[in-house]
Amino acid sequence: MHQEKEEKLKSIRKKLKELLVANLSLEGVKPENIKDDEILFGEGLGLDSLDAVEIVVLLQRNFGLEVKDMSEGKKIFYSVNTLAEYIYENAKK
Amino acid sequence: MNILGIGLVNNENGGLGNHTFSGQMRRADRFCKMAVSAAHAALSDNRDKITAQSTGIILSTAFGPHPTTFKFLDNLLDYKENEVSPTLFSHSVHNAAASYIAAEFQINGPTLTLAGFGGVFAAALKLAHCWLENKVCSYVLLGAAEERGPVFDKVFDIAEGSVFFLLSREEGFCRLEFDKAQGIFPRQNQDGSVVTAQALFDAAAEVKAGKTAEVECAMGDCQVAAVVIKLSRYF
Amino acid sequence: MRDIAITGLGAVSAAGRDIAQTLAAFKRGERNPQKPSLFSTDLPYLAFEVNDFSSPVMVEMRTIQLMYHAVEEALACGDLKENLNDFRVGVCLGTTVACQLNDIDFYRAYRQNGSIDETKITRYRSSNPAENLAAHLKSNGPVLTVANACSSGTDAIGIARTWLSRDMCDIAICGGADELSHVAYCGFGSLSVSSAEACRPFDCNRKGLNLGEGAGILILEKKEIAQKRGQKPLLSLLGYASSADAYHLTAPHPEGKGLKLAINKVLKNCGLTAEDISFINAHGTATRDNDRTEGKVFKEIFGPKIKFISTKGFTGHTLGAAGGLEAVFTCLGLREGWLPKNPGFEKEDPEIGLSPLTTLTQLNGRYAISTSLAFGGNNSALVIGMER
Repeated sequence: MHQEKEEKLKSIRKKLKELLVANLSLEGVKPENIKDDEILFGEGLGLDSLDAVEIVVLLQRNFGLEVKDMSEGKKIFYSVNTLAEYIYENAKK
Repeated sequence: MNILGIGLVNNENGGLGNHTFSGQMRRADRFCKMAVSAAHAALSDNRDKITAQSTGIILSTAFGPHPTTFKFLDNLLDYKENEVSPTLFSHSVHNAAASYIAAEFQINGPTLTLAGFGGVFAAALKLAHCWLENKVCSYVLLGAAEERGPVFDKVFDIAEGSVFFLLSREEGFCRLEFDKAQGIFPRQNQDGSVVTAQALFDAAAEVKAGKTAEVECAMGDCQVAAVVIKLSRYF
Repeated sequence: MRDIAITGLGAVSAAGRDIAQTLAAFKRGERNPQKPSLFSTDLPYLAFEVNDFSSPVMVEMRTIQLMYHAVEEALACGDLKENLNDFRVGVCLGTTVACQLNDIDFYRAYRQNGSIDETKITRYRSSNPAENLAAHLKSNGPVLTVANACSSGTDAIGIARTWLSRDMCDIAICGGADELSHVAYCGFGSLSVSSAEACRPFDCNRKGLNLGEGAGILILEKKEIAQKRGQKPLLSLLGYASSADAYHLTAPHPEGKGLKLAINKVLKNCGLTAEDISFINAHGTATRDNDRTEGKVFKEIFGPKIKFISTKGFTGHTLGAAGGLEAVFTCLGLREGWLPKNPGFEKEDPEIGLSPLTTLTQLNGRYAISTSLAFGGNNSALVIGMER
C-alpha cells in the first residue's frame, strides 16, 4: 500500500514539475532539476502571486481540484512535496 | 521639446532588440518585450540622468496585444470557464507593456497607455509635450507598439515593432517643433501606430547621424489638422 | 487652477439610469448584484448589470451605447445639447473592453474554418469610444482613448484637464465607459479576486470584487467660457496626479508607493493639505490586496478620522468606467452634502485600521479626492472643489 502511494506520488511530482516549467515560463529550468522539497514561493523557485493563481488553474485543469480559498493555498503550495500530497489526497481526475 | 534618445525594435533589426530582460519578464509576451526593448534603447544613453519620479511613460497602440487576447479566447473555447489562464488574461490588456517598462526601469512617474486607430501616436506626442511644458515630469518615454498575428493578418496590414523616444526640455541631440500645416497628407499604407512613430524615428535618426541639420516629418492626420514636426540638430 | 469648471455630469450604472436614480439608490443604501444575464456562465460570481438604459445613438456595441446614454445626460446638464460646436471640444474617454476584439463567436468561427466576420471587424474598428463620439459630434478638438485598465476614466479626466490648461480646447467631454464582458468576467475569476457574494469593500471578511458596467461622464470647461454661456458652475476640477508602482503586473505595491506619490503630488499641486480633504471616494474594489493597500495609505496620509467610501459597493467594478463614475459621485457628494453608508461593511479589518462610513453622513466640506489603482500598477488621484 505504502509502495503504491509512493509510486503515485512520484508520478504526480514528475507531472507537476513538467507543468510548472511549461506553464510558468521558468526559463532555464528543467523539470528533472527541480528538487522534491524545493520551496516554490519566495526563495527556491521564486514564484509570485500571479504564479500562485496560475497553479490554481493548473490544478483545476489537470487534476480536477478546486482551491476555494487562497489562504489555504499558502500551506498547499509550500513545496513540490506538499503540492503532490494535496493532489494525492484530493484529486478527482 | 528635445529628443534625447531613440529606440526601434522590429523584424529587420533582430526582432526583440538587445535588452537583457529581468526575471520578472519571463511571462511577458512579445508585445511587451518589444516595447521594453525599444524603451531600453531610447533610455540607454541617459540612464544616469533620469530619476524614478522625474520620468513619465506614454505608450500608444492601435491593436494592442491581440495575439495574447486570442490565446486567452483559445483557453475559453478549449477549457472550462474556471480553467482559463490568469497569466494570459493579465497580458491581454493594452497597458501591460507600459507596466513592465515602469517595473523594468523602476520609473514611478505617470504611466499611460492610449489606444486609437487614427492619429494616436501624434496625439500622444502632443500630450508628451503638454506634460513637459506643465512640468508634470522632466522626461517622457514616449512610444508606439504593434504586433502582427494570424487573425489580424487576414484583415489588416499591421506595421509590427516598437519605437520609443526619450523626450525632455533639457538639451538632447535634436530639437522638435510642432508646425501646423494645411493640405492633404498621403494616407498611410500600413495599419497601426508604429508607422507614424517610425517616420519620426527615421527623421530623428538622420539628424542624430549628422546626415541633415533639419528635416520635416509629417505625422499624418491628427484629428484636427495634419501635424508636421520640424527636427533640427541641437547646437 | 480653479479656472477649470465642471459643468455637466452624466452617469449610468447598476445604481441607476441617471444621477437622480443613482442618488435615490445611494440614499436607500440599495444594491442588487446578481449572476450575469448578458451571457450564460457556470461561474458563481455576482455582477452589477445595467438593466435600464437607452442609447440616443444607434450603435451596436454595448460599451458605446452606455457611453452615449451618459453623454446625453451630461450635455443636457451643461446646457450644451444645441450649441456644442460653437466651441473647440476635446474628447477623452477611458475603456478596457472596447479596445479589444474579445468576441468569442467571432473567434470560434475563425478557428472552425478560418472565416472572418467582416461585420465584427467593422464594429471593432468603429468602437474606439473617443473616436466614435468625436466623429458623431463632429467635434474639432483633440481626441484620445485611454486604455489604462482600472484608472482609465480618471486618467482620461486628467488628460482633458491638461488640454484645457494648454488651451487646446475650450470644453472637454471626459470620463469612461465599459460593458460587462464574459471574457473579463472569466479573467478576473481566474485571478481569484472575484466574489460569489455581494462585494464588501474594506470589510474584514471581504472576499473579492463584483464586476459591473456603466459610463460616467464629466463636462469640463474653462470657467470664463462657462460664465459667458450663462452657467454658474459650483464645482471645479482642481487637480490630477498619477504615479506608477513599478512593482508587479497584477499586485499593488505592498506599501502603496505609487498611490502615496499620486495623492501627495495632487495635494501639493492644488496647494492643499490632507486636513483640507472632506472625504475620499476610494477605489475600494473589495479585494484583499487593494483595500489593504489603499486603506493603509489613507490612514498614513489622512489620519484615522478620514471619511471615505467605495461606491463600487453600489456599482461593482466598472473597469474603464470606474474613474468616470467615481468622479461624478465625488462631485455629487460635495454638491448634495452627503455620502451614503459604505455597502457591505460590517467589521473593521485590523490590517487596515480604518473604517469607511457606516451610516449616511452629512458633509459640508469644500474639497474631495477620488482615487484609482489600476491593474499594472498605475495610481491616479483627482481633487474636486466646490464653491461655498
